Amino acid sequence: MNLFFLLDHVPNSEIKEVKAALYEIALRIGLPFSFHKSVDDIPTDGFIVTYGTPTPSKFNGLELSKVTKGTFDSFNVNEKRLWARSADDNIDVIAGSINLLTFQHEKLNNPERDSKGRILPINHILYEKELLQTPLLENNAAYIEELIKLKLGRDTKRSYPWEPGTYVLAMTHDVDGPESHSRFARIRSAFLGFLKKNKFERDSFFHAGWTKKYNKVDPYWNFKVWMDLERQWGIKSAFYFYTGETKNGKRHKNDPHYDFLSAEYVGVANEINQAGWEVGLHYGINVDTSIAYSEAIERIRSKIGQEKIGGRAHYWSIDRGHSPLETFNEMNDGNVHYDTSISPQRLGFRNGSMLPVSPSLFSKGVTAPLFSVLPTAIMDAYCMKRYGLSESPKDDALKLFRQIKKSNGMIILDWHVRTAHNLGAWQGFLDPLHELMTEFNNDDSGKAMLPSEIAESWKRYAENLFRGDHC
Amino acid sequence: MEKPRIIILTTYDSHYPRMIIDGLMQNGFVTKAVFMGSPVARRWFQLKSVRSVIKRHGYLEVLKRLIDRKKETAPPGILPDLPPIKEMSTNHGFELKEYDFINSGRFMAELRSYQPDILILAGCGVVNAMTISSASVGCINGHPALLPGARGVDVIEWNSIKGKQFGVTAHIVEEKVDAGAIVNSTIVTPKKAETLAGFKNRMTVLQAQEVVKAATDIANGTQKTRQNDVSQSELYFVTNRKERKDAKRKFEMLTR
Repeated sequence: MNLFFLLDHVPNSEIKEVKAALYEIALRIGLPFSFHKSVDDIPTDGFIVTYGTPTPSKFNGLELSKVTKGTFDSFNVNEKRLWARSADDNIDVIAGSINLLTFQHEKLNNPERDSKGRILPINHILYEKELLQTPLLENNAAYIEELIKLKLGRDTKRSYPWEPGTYVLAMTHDVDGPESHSRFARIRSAFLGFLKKNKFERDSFFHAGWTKKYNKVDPYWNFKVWMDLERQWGIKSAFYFYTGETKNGKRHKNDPHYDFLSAEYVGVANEINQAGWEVGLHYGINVDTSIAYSEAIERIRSKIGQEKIGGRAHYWSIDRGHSPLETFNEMNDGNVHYDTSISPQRLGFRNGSMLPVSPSLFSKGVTAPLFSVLPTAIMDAYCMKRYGLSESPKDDALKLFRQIKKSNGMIILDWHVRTAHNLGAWQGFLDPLHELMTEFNNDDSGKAMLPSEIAESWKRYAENLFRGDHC
Repeated sequence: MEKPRIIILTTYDSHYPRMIIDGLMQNGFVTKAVFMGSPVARRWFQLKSVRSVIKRHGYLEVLKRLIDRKKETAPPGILPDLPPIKEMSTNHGFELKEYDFINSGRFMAELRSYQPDILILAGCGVVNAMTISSASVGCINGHPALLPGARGVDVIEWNSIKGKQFGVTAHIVEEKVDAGAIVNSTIVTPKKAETLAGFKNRMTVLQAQEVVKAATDIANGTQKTRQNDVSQSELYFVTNRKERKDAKRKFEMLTR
C-alpha cells in the first residue's frame, strides 16, 4: 500500500517544509509514499493523504487538519503525547512536526543561551514540559498511522528501518582528553582538586602521578580498553577525534588539547580503523562552515584513508552563529557523512525524535541525497547523580533505554574515552553503562551497529520507501 | 563443575591470598589467574585507607595507627610458610596479572576476558557491580566476623569491645558491604593466653580456610547458602587508638 500525499493547496512558501515533515512522518509510518500536486497523477485506488483540504471524492483517504494560526503545545491523544499546533478543537501534527524538526519549538519560551549559543538545559521547552524523554515525532507519526488504519479498517503491511521487533544501538566515544599524563591535564586536575577542592579531580591527579612515576599506561588512554569491553558486549563503536585547528576552523579555548597529527594519535586511529571500529570527527567549537568541516574531514581521511566520516560537535556546539538546521546544512555541504550532535544536554530527545532525522530535506529538498543526524539520547555524565540533573539518573537512563528498546527505536550512547578509567574524575561512569549493556545483552532484540551503518541503513530505508516527488 | 575458572583478586602478596591459592590446590582446584595490585594499586589502596582513618578520627590517628602497627607483634608459627605468589604461579602454572586500578575499565576488560566462574576477593578493597558480575557462578569474600553481625572493618576489635562472639564467614559478594548470602561460617573461640595479635593471625588462617571451603562447595555445587539479614547486623568503621587499646584490654581479660 502506498501513501499519496496530495499537496495541491499547500502554498509554495510552505511546500518545502511540509514535504520534509511528511517525508519524516512517512518513514516512521513505514509505507511507500510520494508527493503530488495534482490528483490526476494518482491511481484511483490509491490512498490519498491531504493536508488542509478535503480528500477528493471517489478517492479513499485521510484529511490531516491544517491549523494556520494557533499555539504549539503537547496534546495527549490515546495515551500518547503529541506535539502539534492547535486552534479551537483542531490539532495540526504536521505543523507540530515541522516545529520540532526545524528547532523552532526551542524559541517558544525564549530561553537563555550560553556563550556557545546553547540553550541552558533547564530552560529547554521540552524539559519545562517534562517531554525530553518523549519521542514526540514518532508519536505524531503513530497518531497518523492510527488514523490511516481507522480509515482502512485494517492493519497496514508496513516496513521497518531495521528488522521488525528490533532496535539498534550504536556506541560512540568523544575523544576529549585521553591523556592524564599531559601537563595540561595534570595542572587542571591539581587546580580543580586542590584549589577548588574537587575530590574526584584530586584522585585523578594522584593516579596520573603514580602511573607516570611507575611507567604505567596512562589511565585515560582507553582506546583498546573500550574495544576489549565492546568485544565482550558484542558491539563496535565510533571514536570521534578532534583534528586540531585548520585554516577555516580556528581553535576555541575549550577545544581538546591534543595533537591528532602526532604519531601516537594517527597510530591509534589507524588501529581503530583496521580493527573494524569507526573513526569520526569531533568538530571543534568554532567549526561551523562547510569548508571548516571539509578541512577537518580531510585531516582524518589523509591519515587513515577512511572515506565516509561522520561525527559529533564538541560541547554539542551546533547553535553557534547558526540555527542547528543551518549548521547541519553546512555539515552536509562539507561532506560530513552523518552527525550525532542532537542532544538536550540531558537524557532524552532535543527535537522529539528518537530515530534519525534528515535536515537536508528542509534545505535541499526531498529528492536530494539524505544527510542524516542520529540524535544522541544518552551520554555518560547525564547518568551520573553527582551532576545533579536528576535524583536517579541511572534509573532514568535505563528507563529511557527500555522505552526506546520497546519502541524498536535507535539508541546512540556517548561515553568519553577517558571515562573508562572509572575512577577519579570519572568515578562510577561505567556503572550505568554496565546496566545498559546488561539490558542490551539480555535478549536478541537489539542490534549493534556503527553509527555510519545506521546512517546508511536509514538512507536505504528512505530510498526504498520514497516513490517520488510530483509536486 | 569439573574445572572451574577461579580468579583471585588481591592488592598485596600476603599470607591470606597465598593460603587461599594453596587451599584450593589441596582441594584439587588450580587457580586460573591471580590479579595482584601493582605499586600504583598499592599506593591507591593506602591512600584510601588513610583517608578513611582521617575521615573518622583525623590526621593524628594515621600516625598513631602506623606506630601501633609497628608495635603489634604476633607470635611466630601461626601463619603457614608459603612461597610468594609469583613463585606459586610458576610452580602451579597459573597466570599472574598485575593491575593498577581495581574497578577501572582496563582491569575489568582483562578480568572479563578470563570469563571467570568463581571470583575470590582476597583483600582487594570494594569492587563494583561490573566486577562482581564478571563471575558466572559467584564472587566470594571472606570476613573475619560472623555474619550477619559485625560488618565493615576492624571487626575483630569491635567484637572484642562489644563482647560479641568471634568467627569467620565466607559470603557471596554484593555491591553492599558484607551483605551477600552466607556460604559458610565458623565460630572461633580465643585460646587461653592468646594475644589479640596472635588471634588475628589465627583468624586470617581460618578465614582463608572458610573461603576455600566456600569456593570448593560452590564449584562442586554443594553449597548451602543462607540469608544474610543485614538488618540484624551493625556496620563498623575504622577504630582509633583508644578503641584498639580497649579491644586489646578486653581480649586479654577474656583469655586470662
